[in-house]
Amino acid sequence: MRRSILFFYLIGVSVFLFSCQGKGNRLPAELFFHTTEKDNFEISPDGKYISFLENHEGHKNIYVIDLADTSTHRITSFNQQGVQSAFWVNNDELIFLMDQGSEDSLRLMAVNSKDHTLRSIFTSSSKMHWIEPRQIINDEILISLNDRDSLLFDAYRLNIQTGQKQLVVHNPGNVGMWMPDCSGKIRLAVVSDGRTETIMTRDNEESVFQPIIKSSYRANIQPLGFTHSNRDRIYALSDLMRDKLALVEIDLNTGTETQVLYEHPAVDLNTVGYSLEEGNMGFIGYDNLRPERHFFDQKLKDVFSKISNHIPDYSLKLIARDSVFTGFIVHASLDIDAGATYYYNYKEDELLKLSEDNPHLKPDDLAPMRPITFYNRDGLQLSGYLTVPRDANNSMPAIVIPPVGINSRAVWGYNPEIQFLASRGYVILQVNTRGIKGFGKQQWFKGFRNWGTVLQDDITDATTWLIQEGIVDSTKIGIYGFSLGGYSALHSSCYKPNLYACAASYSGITNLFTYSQEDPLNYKPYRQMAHEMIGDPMKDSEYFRKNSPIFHTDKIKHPVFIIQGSRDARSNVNETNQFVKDLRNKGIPVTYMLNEEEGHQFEDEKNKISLYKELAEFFDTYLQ
Amino acid sequence: MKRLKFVIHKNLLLIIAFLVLITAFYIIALILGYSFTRNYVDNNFNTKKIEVFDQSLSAYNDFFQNRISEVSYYQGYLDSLSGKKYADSIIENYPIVKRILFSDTQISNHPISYGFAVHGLFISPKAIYQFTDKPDQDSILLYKANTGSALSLNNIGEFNNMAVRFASFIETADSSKILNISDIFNTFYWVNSGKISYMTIPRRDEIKVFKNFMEKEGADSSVYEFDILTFFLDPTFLEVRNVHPELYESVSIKPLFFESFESDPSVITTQMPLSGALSDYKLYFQSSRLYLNREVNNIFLPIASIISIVYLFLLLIAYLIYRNLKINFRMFKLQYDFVNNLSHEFKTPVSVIKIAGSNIRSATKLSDVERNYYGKILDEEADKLNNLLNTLLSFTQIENKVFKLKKQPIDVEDFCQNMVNTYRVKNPDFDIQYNISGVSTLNTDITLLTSVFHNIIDNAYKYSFPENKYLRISVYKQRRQIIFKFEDKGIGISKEDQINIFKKFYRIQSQFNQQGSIGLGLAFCKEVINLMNGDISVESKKGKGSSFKITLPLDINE
Repeated sequence: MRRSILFFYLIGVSVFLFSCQGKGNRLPAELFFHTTEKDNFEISPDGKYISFLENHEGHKNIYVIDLADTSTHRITSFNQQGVQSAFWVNNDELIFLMDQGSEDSLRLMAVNSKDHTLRSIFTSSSKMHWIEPRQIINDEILISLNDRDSLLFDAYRLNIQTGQKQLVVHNPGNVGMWMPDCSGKIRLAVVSDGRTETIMTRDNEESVFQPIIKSSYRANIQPLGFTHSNRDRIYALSDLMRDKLALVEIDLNTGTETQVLYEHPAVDLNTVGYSLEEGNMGFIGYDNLRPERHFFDQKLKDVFSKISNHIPDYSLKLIARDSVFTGFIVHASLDIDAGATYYYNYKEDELLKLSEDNPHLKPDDLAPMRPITFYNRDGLQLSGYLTVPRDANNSMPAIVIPPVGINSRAVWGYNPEIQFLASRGYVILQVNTRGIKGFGKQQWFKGFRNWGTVLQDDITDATTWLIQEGIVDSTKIGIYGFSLGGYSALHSSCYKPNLYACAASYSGITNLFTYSQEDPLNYKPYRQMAHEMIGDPMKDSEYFRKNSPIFHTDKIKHPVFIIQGSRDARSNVNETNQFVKDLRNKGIPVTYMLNEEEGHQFEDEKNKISLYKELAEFFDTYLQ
Repeated sequence: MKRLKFVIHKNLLLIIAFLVLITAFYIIALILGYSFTRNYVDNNFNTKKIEVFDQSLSAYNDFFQNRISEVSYYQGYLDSLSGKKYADSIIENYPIVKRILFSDTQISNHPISYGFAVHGLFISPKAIYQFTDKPDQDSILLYKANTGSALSLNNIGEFNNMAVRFASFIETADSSKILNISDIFNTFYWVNSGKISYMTIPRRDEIKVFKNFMEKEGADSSVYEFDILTFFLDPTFLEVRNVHPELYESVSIKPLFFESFESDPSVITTQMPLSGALSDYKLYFQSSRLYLNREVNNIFLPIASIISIVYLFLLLIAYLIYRNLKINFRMFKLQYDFVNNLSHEFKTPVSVIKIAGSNIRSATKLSDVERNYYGKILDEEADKLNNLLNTLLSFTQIENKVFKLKKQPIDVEDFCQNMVNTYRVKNPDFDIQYNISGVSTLNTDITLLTSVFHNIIDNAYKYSFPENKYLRISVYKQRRQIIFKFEDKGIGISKEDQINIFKKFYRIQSQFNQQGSIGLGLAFCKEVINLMNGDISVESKKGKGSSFKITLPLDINE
């Protein structure tokens, strides 16, 4: 009798568990925010070996794949400190830089990939940046060090055999970038005071740098590299005298554009396929509705199209290539696939998967991302992305996601945050408003001193568009954003309390007065620029007050979720605390997640996962 | 009988003792309750003032904790316009704030205008405004730098004080640490009696800059914007919220050293000093004794009613116990009488038998007449004893419901005729007649019905005056019932006795039942009739006669 009771009990429990599983069927948050194990893929110059970094005993170590038999060997065994980055110097040896904490000294080392012998090249108490690690001439590489003044990085030429370093050029201050020509001579520097940027050049390393192009922060000129054909010409992305960033060739003697190599009518160019070794531009990429690419090098175009034959539709990213035009390392991904790193042998037309970014997420479980366009109240066409869960009906709850910063437009591709929220049953609308970069200068300028107006109007119009599309329940729309997006979410809470059912702000700006002041000391020149972009707290104090959520807690009517890292330098924790206190005093349900260890953006995987779990729970409470 | 009386007296004594005791407790409970309530109210008068204090100061606390720090939100960028807007909202919402002095301040490492300087740190007012609660008045510009307007010491005092505090803070501040709350409170708030000064809290990087300014380091020559606001408070405008109007007749704000010289000794007072910027004043509470007594009564009334209810309840229980005792006593008395009567009943035949027996024994020779006589006497007396015992037995049987009815159809006419004949023969002086209408047969236990008839007819004969022995029996049908009515012209039964005559052992004290009654007859009849699902009742007038009415259900097969 007792046994049969136990038996039925067990059956009951298992039926219950099964039904729970059937009902929820939710992928755990851990799956989405899992970070890749293998990274930093590099290929040896002869194309026979591939190196990458992977954790061994909790620290990154160097592994090498022998492509002859595709066997993998770990060639370093660090268990105190990890490897930060590693590059092939020849077919046998790799140089690498160790991770450097605030107390650690700088360690640059080399390791033989065959016999695993380690060799220290250089140690110092200062900090180091690579200038061009892949360009090795006479066993020498270019690096920058701040050993003279902690704020100034000088350029050095370092012999990787002897460890001898030789100063190439002093940083007079404000040099943010050094650029070598194809023969390894530093002939270009970019100087910035935050507001104006100056490109300086020189004919040889003995002569003095001369300014050739000056531009205000409103224009953008990014030198990409010297051309192989003419030692006085460089490739650059520039929107000087035009609206969108285009690929141009600039003559360094005159500082003028000699030709426009490519420009796109709708968007700025961004991904650069420049090869220093060859001194030419292989291709240029840009994010239109989906990422696209324009090739200059027909052979390279052939490589990409052949890879695409293996994995059609996938977005490809070139990570490394060898010197003999045989081996390529590419990363391929989709909106519904976190992607994988592949080795491609052009001669054999063979594709080999090296590592998967997130093998546990199945593309069939993820929601496709659809580019959309809509017209705002001023009749301007804007774009965005709509992610609809696979089993959607016509009255889904939705979350609107405003831009996270003026430099971060939404793009098509795998996005763990979007996929996670979609997997919880929400329609996600990402919107690229006016005021953000990527769609030309004019679009960006429209947001100047208009974060609280133009940007917010566009977000409201996007939400209205979403409601008119008729696929969501208009009473169950939430708004969630990070940083600037958090500001937009809170701003909408104040001024559009009826449009949204709840709002979540992750490190969102609550006070424009404070935000306009928050520049690190050494970037003081930025202040004037900030006054133009955000507003002048003196002259525009009324606008600041009106558009800072901290002054308008009385207007907020719906539940709010606030995420704040104590170490966030950009927003004042005391103000956020006060903001939460005010809301709670007014009886608004506030979920407040304050993490003592984290800064503006949560880094620790555990903290990140608990953040997103809480976020999903918040939306589940108020939108489902 | 003596013993019984003693028992009753003892019970009565106990009851009286109990009554006295609970009454004493009742009175003591009332007195104690009242005195506790009074103490409780007096105690509340002294302790509940904290609640009044908290409530009254909630607006001030809200202002102090939430609204003042709002100045920092502006990061120093308050100007005459936004400053006025802020000040207006404060003055409008917090009537206690009467005036706000606003120094739009600049901090730099070079002299800007008149100001306060420590080494390389210069703190100067750019302009000083005053905002008041006069509705139509714009902000009053008290001073503007570099216009030659004079700077009155009266208006600059607050500024100077904050500047000194700020400078001394910068001198010792550690810019690598996050400002803690006590630093903030000690430096950027200055709370004085009747006024609070507040200065924009600098950010960490600014503290570093100002340290450099003071030490004359660094080439930065920026001018930093700060705001210093002084709020002038008038505590008498504090809105007193008397949340305990039942305790405090009046609550007012009085200067700290206010003393009442009220001559009326019945007025009770207590006080609560205010803190912070209001520390020159206190909350002053007063109530008259009469006022407090009302509250005492309000609280005491329900307590008293509960005590009273408990008291009444105890009284009720005492009464019920007393009543039960009384009933038991009556039962006891009835049984006592019963045994008494029964012994008499038995005693008479037994003594007659004994006399007859001894006469027979002592007689040497018995004549036929004598033998007949004694034989008859013995026979009769034995019958009497037998009857007596039969009645007793059947009564107990019926009463204990062990008796089964032996039903059989009887002819009513025959039954009555037989009954009447028997009595006519037995008592020739008995005028007994019957009358039947509408019924012929009845299904019933004839023996029991006979006993009931005997009992009632016997009584009618027994309780009648000798010259007027009369009985009329009427039998008739009423709906589905048969009614037997016995009407006599006897002594009648008084109203009080009518209720009791059907009870066991109850006998009416009368000359007619001096002997040979045990008080079971009518009780027996009632039990029998009840057993037959019928009813028996009596109507009587003392001295005129009685009428017994028996109602029995007519069996359906009739």
